[in-house]
Amino acid sequence: MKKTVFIPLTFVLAIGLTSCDFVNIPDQPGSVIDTTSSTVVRKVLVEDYTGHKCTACPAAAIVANSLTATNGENVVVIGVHAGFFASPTTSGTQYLEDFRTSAGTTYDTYFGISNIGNPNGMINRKYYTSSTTAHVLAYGTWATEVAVELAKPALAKLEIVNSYNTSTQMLTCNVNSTFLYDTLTGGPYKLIVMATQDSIAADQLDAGLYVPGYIHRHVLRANLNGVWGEDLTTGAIIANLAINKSYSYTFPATYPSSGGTSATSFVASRCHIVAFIYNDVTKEVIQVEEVKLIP
Amino acid sequence: MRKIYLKSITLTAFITAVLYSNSSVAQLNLNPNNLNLGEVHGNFEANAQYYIPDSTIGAAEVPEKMLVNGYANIIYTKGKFTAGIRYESYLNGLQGYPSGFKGTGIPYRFATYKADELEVTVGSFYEQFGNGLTIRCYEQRSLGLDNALDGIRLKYKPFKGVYLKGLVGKQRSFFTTGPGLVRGFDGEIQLNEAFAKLADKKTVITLGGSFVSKFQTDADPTLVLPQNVGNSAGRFSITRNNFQMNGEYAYKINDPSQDNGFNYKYGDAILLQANYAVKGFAISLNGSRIDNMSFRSDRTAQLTNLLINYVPALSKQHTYSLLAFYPYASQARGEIEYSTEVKYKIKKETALGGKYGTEITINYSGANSLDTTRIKGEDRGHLGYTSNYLGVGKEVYFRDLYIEITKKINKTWKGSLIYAHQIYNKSIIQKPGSPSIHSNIVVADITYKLKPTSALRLELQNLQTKQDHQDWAYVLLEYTINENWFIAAGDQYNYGNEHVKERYHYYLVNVGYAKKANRITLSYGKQREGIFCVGGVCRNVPASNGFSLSITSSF
Repeated sequence: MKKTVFIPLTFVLAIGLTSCDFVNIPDQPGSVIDTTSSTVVRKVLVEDYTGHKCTACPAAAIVANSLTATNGENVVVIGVHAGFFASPTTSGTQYLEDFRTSAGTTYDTYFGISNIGNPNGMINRKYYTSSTTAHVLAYGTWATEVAVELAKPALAKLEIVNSYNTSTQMLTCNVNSTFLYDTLTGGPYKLIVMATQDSIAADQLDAGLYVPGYIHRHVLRANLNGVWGEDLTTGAIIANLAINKSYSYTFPATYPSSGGTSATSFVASRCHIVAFIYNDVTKEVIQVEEVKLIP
Repeated sequence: MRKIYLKSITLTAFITAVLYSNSSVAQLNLNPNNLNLGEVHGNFEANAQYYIPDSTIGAAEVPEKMLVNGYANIIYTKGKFTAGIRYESYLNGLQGYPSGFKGTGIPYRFATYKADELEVTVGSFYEQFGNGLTIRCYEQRSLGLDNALDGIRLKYKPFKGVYLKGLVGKQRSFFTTGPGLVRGFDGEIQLNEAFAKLADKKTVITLGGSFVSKFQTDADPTLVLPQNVGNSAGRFSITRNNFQMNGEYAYKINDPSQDNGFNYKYGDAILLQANYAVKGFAISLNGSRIDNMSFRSDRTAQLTNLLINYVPALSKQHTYSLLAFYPYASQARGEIEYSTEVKYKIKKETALGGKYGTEITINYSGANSLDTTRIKGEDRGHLGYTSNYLGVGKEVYFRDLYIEITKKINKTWKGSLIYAHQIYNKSIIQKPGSPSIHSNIVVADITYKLKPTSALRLELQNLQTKQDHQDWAYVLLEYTINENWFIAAGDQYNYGNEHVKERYHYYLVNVGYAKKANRITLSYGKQREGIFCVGGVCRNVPASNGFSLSITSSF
């Protein structure tokens, strides 16, 4: 009889002891970024592929925003609207806005993001191969991947200096790229420069609900030097040599520039210039920088 | 010469005798005492498809041209011992299958031994506690779903009528296992078996309870994620004469995941089912309320991957293609679902019943959103919303009114006539931003028996809707030639599409041969893009065009 009772009791104890973790305050204490240090830090690019008709995408945006909230300027987020869920509705009054860009659509197709489903994204575009989908990361994994990338040493330094004329809406942008090691292998390394606009109020489907004034963050607006950017290196890498690239770009009054019901206004004070260096063979981003259009 | 001839005959006889005796010896050596060596059984299934691109219906080009999924189970049994393996091969996996199914391997292998009241399983196993609200590990090959556990399971019967189960394992994820640990315990008592006084009572009562906990490491720098998440449930079942009723309630603690947008609210589910049946009449009533009950062993898993529990589907499971055109997928995030079905057989030799009687089935099922209120302002607990337990949300997820009349007219003719009205919230179930689809469907199924083993069957189906791709028709003619052969041809036609150029035909021709344990089916035709569901669990199916070959065999 004792044995008979002993075995089920062992079951219950074994399972019962695997206790439940009740969490009352989900947020981790925030970390403080040392902005005074002259040491170059590795910054991380988070690409959130999204769409205004993607019901689960706001949840991903929350994660992306929490990454910048925790890591400050060391994490750069861009919201890439592309794929089925990003297409504007052509009739009615909802989801009329078109946040898509030709560069965003090209990236989405090339990396096969929305083909797998939204929301999804990439962290520094790492793990990319044309035959697998390992580089397409669900937002639940972003924090872990960002932490891994932040822990790596910086391989390059980026500086962006903007000169913006408010009357003509013309930007002259100088980007200085400096490789920190001449032992860096692979490549060629390329530079992409793009403009993003933050906090655009527009329609969004959120957990099955239509939200008319949803705040879209870090929306990719335009590429300043083409979809895939331009070469920084063609031969051997020379360490600590600044490579200067200069770009001019005139912001349109609206995006898309053709206007109409799908257009949303350009607001200079909410725009940022993002530049990043990547390995053209692996597509992996080794450094990223972001500055405000108007400091 | 004669001597040589005789010698050669003798030599041949000798060699034959030696060979024969050797083979006899070999057989005897394998089992000298005629021992019971056990039995080996198994089965084999292969599904191959040759793809032909068709840009009109969106059938993409497949670089490999042909893709094959293959499965073989081999199971050895001897007395109380059973062991087996399943070999699986995806070279490469069929279109629409989860992309993780690539290559070959033996993802399922197990050994089970039963010693009196204790049964021990090590390796892979499937399991379900109650209705599956805490755990349901199963294989649904047509969905590409296999969430088998790899670990240890014990089943124990300490007393008469008392059944206990305990398990620990990791869930299958394609050819590997997921990151989370799953631990579970289930206890059930059948009162009439356990207590001698109740043995002869008409009312049979069973009570049960289960607890399942998952563990996954928290590596998130921004959120404090619960590493151990528990899901517990209690259930009952009462049967008296022709009446049966069962119910289950499950409660899950905070389980932030990709499914619920990293919401820390608890989850719970209640399920109630009742059935009553007498000769010629049956009624069933079912209802459920599900709130935040997605439970996976990886908080970032999607689609049908690494599901631990199961949210039962109460809507009618249809087999006719246009009735199943817009199938409902259970919403683990939250829903209120219900269904009721009445079956009545009009007696023989009456005006409406005729010579053989007439069967009438009426089913009504539906699902709505929960009545929830978003938490405004600061939401430090990341709880997202509160829900009114007794309220029903305004958003309609699904409706299905189904009326079927089945009648056998004489020895050669029989048929069914079905009408259904469905509402399908495509925005919630399939693609956000899509309109709700209201459809009316009529199906006629007529069978003409030519011989005892030969019949002709005709299906005529029509679906009308103003939304989505508008109206569809479907015709199928099936000829069962004899007990071995059948041939069928069907066409699904989108005749009402408002874009005239997109009024596509999706035709399909099947030829099948079955004899004893072997079955071979060859088909050619087109498959439309859509959603395919089994028991409320669904996957998207891409458009395809080409030849298919299916072979199943068992021994």
